[in-house]
Amino acid sequence: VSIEGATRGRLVGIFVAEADDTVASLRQLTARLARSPDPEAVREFGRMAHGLKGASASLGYEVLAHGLHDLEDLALGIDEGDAEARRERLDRIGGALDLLEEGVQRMGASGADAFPEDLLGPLVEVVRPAGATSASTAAPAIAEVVRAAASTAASTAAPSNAAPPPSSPSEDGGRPGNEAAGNGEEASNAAGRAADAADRLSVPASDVDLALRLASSLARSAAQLAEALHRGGGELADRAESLSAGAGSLEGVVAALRLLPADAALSGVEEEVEALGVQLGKRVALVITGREVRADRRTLQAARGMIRHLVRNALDHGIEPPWEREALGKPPEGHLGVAVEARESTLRVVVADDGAGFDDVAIRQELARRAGDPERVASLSAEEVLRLWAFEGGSTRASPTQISGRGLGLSAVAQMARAAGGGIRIQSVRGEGSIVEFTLPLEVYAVDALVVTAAERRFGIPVAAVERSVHVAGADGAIHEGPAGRTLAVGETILPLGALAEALGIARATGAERFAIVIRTEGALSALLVDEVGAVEGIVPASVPGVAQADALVTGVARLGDGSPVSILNPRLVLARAYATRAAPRSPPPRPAAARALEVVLAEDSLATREVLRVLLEEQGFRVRVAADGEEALQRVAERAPDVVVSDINMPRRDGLSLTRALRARAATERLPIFLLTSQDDAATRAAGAAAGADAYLVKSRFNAHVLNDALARIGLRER
Amino acid sequence: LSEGLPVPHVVVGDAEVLERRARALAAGGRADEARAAVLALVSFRLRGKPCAVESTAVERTVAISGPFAVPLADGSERAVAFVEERPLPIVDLAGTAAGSCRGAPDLAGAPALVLGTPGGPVAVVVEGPLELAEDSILERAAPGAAGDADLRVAGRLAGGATLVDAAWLVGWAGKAARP
Repeated sequence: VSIEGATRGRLVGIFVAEADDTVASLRQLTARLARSPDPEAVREFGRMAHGLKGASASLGYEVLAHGLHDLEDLALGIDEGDAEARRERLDRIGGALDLLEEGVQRMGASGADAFPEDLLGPLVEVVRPAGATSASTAAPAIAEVVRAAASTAASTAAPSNAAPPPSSPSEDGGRPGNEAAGNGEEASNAAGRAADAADRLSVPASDVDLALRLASSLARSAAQLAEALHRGGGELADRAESLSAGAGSLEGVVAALRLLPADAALSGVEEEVEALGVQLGKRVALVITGREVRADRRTLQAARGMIRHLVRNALDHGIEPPWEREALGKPPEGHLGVAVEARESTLRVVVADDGAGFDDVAIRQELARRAGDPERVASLSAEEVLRLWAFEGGSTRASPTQISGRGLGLSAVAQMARAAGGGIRIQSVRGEGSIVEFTLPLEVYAVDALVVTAAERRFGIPVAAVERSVHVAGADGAIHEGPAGRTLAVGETILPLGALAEALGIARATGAERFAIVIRTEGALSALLVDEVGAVEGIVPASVPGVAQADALVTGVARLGDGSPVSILNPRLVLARAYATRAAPRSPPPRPAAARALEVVLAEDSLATREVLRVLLEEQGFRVRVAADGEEALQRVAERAPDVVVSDINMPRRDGLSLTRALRARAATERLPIFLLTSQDDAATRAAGAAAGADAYLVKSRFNAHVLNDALARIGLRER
Repeated sequence: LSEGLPVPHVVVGDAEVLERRARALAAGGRADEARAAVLALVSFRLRGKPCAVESTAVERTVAISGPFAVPLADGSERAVAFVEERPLPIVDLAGTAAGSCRGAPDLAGAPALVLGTPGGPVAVVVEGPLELAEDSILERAAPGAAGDADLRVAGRLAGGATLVDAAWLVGWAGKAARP
């Protein structure tokens, strides 16, 4: 696939972001596999590795794709053989993930359009099928390879090494699955270890921040030097690239000194919940999400204590014993969820349970008794009462319990959040459960931001808020000028459309904007025109008090690899301004030549692959509607029948074969052209595709515009 | 990396002051008194006139490199520049004194004093050249006296320059940077 430079840079950025997420997920799945055989985890691992393989292949990273293919096989066969063989496979998977993580981080740091060469060999070696090396001799060889790679690539600098996740197989692999259950001492030890780790920060944080800024500057300068020398070629260019890679690694190390996975705040929670459940005679299913979120060490350390307060409260006061739950018509096992999220410059933690909830009546009575003003208490909403209750340090308990005292942990959390400049929100339905959410401002935070250009300035939009980007030139008649202003039709949704430069108040729209970015925040959805869309960049923004801070339009500023400044936008405030400026008169929108374009529903679970294919298809004049899996593709087709469906095979929820069968089974779509586009090039899968009713079977590694047009011509949708 | 300034050099603004100090030092017993009478200063210009501020108020001096505008929610903008990889708000004292504040792009290369304010460091743009100097106060300003463009003046130096009130300048910079 030939893609012009800027677009390719953007796609590589998306690949890096997706690969980073995928590796983190694969680590979690590996930890599950290390605990016990888990067919579902095996399938999920295979699917995710397969998706990353496809994304690698779509960008032309063939050797990496080959290695990921072997990694997929390695995981899928994990339960073939005895315990020793299983352990050996887990070790190899862990080694491969270390290499993948470092490689992806270095790609992200350097902006390189290639997986680091010095890691590719070790990666391929570590996942090489066992036929090449006997299982008994493979392990030492693998360990050696990984060690060698680590030293060659100065990977002692890698953040993953600075703070290895506790779920890595090297730590969890040897732990019997039930050892932690009911073991309060271990939970306590885990907490102690985490506290010790936090205490090791023995230099002023401001010094680390300065080091991070300087390391970032060095990395950028080195990258610029490498780029300048690259044009001349020769030995100097090689040395400069090496310098650039080293500087990127250094930046990663320093960042890791300040940014840790949220697991630092969550380790030990599972064990504590199990132990407390046994102690209290309660059954609890705990779900933790957001372990991979990265935040500064001190904020996570603060969050850790607050989470434990809330978890203990939920177990002690909220979730009922099994007999009581059954009497209430609830399942005997209570549900407790802990979710951590870093949104722009704020760490948000939600602890939710399906227990008894707060006793609104008793709380109002107690508050009225204390305040001596029952009318005022009666006029408060349920949420206001709970908030007041939290800050008042209230308890309706007659006597303290060993687990959570009088339940004053909620008050402690509220006070800590407020003292740190954050907040707390409590929702509860008596008999159904409660949700406690607290926020803490992050001292240092990393954000994956889509870099866009508007009025010759660069802005970063957090990717979490970016629904999609639309190539305006390919949007055909999707833009309309109505009485309420301009709109953009995306699928069946009509979105308000404005120009980012106008929303920010920095310039008028010129009509030359090439892209629209669809932004979603707090339920609101809007499209903003920008001049250019760049790469997704991992950015550590710095605040400028009073100018760029958490609650401002710009939450922080940073410099990109080329030294240019970028302002990280607050999506919520940007949309608010966009709505406010929509009433102003506007220049006419760009009107691309109107020609009937074929419409494609593209089903692909990998974001990077999906974007590569979307760009390719749009460049060929197609209008593309995307779907992240087969189930979503069915919805897209049901919304409006496209001219053709192009679908991956291996996807979550509903795979491409099932999608094909489902479409063929419906009268409205039984003749709809369906192309399967997959990296699976074996006869069995081809036969399955044909049996399902696909019109064409295209292999990603050989896919290009010519192949697509040829396939369309064969079914009469394009002329040859 | 931030753009570096030329190596600053000490300028003998008033040879007589230097001579007096040298004689005082030679006399031994009056050294402390003589030293106390001489101020360490950073000199600059505003509206072309020589000014100075005590060097203790100045964290460092820089030439503004790559300034850019950051939009605010109220529709206005603030200029920001990276100094040692740290983004600092910029306030245009030279422009304020001249009656017209400049936009971020026009501040590229301008000399600035980095002052520590309660809200964090701020880069205050002045007119160059920036120089380190020593001088003594010839006349002290009356409390509350204001000079051109409402500058709070602390006094007049023996060399003829206006001594800007450092505490006032720090407070003004903090307010101007963070409305």
